[in-house]
Amino acid sequence: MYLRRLQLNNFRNAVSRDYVFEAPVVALTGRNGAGKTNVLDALHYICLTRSYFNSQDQQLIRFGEDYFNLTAQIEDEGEEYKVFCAYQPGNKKVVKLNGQDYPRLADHIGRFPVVMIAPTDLNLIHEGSDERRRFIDMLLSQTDRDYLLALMKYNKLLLQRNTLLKSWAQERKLDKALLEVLDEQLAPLNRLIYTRRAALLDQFNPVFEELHLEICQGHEKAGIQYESGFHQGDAATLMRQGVQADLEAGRSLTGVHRDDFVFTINGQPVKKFGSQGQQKSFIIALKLAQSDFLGMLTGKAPFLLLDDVFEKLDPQRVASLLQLVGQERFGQILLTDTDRGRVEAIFRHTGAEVQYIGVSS
Amino acid sequence: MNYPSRLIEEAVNAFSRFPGIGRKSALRLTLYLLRQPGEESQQLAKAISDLRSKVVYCSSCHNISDEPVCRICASKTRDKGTICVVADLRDVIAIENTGQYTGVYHVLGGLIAPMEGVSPDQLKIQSLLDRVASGEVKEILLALSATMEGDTTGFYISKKLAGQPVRISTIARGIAIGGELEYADELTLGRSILNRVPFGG
Ligand SMILES: [Zn+2]
Repeated sequence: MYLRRLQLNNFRNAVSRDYVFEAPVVALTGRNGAGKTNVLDALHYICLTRSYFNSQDQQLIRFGEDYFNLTAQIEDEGEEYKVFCAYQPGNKKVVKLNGQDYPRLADHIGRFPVVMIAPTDLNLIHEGSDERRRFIDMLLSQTDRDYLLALMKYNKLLLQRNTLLKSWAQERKLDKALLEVLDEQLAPLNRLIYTRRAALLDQFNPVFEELHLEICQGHEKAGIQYESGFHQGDAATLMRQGVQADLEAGRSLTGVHRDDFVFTINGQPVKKFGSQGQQKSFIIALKLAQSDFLGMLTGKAPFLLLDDVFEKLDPQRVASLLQLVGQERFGQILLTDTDRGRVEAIFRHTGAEVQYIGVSS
Repeated sequence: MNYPSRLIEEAVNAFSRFPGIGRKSALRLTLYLLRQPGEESQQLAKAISDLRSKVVYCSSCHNISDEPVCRICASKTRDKGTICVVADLRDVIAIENTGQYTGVYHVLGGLIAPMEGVSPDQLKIQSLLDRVASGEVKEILLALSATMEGDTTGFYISKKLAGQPVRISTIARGIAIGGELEYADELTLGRSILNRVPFGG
């Protein structure tokens, strides 16, 4: 996969930008706030129909405008593809491949795999479980259509169910038959999502462990442990047992939306015991493993987006990162940095062909 | 956006309340009306106000009608033993256009969606149960969209009908890409009405 051209209109703070890409490594350099990250995020949006940094499409529209759109030209296995995404509040999100609508948006996701590494990724370790679930969901959604559809349906049903529970908490009004109907639909989805997450980690952990060893050049064993209420038993049974507690709480306490993923090194949670350096290596290895893994399953090396990664890394980690990049196991790389000189110095001895694009607002 | 006239702004506000009409389209409609003869606007206003004040709903199936009992329910040739359950009038029109259905209808007036404030008691579900309880009905044919709301509504109705001596069937799924019956072409929709399948989870 090769990104040839990317056009941004009213996306974040870009009025109108048009970039042509000509190398396997593209370095976007410029001051902070110049809009370098917008370019990476635009490609992320093109691939996954959502921003990496902001889940509210409305907030991606340039201030004072009432829509944004993005166009990408991507070459894949000798074919040229044109992807167009547009959003205007009040209308459905538009995603077109070569001018054609998709019957379902979900059919687009995973068509052009992508992985982003950004400074905010340390949130994966420090923030709540929803960040980690989102990571796992993004990984699975790009390779497993059933999972993505089940997850979308699950989230919608869960909102409906919580509305019912809330109205019970507030007005003591409950349509029992409706609650049962929602639960009968939720139970098989819980089962599917739980099973696929568990299976994913069985496959993903070995890839991750190996990459982590390469990055750290040490002997620390990295892994992800799956925590779920459904380790204890079948979804339908546990949900039935939980109904009373749900009614009292006014929300659903049982289900895969409560799952968590514990990041570990040598079996110990990184959040508590990892040094800052260990945590950074952990995240980078995690993301590169995501890229490797997506590449294995989709047969395409994903776009790798590195947002301000080099500035925050010590030289040794940069070196081992570049060694991996040099092995050509990753797809096209787009990176941002405030310092062109630093990027030049880093890539000087790799032999990689780098295109430099200066970005200014 | 700023408008040079308050009258224009009010018209734009009114038009942009329609589904799928943004402010730009609303302005285009407004300017179009201004270019047309005055009678045209009069007729439009009358059609809209008559629609609201004179419309009646069939007391049996809740379809929109000009009489207290609609033409389909009043017809001697329609099979009163089969009730096709749909979300709204558009589905009735789509199914009637196939010419393949000889039973009667029940128009729910929407689909269950608690989050959007649509609970079962806001739809015509109880009156459907009453129709079934009257004993004449042998088959309920669910023709609801293949969306989560359509599924929930179907499951809910079949749960409420459990134990009744009535067969519950559904039109074959997969016909409604985009989830709306009205978009399915007549031939496919007609065939799926003839080849209905038993309803189950
Ligand atoms: Zn009627």
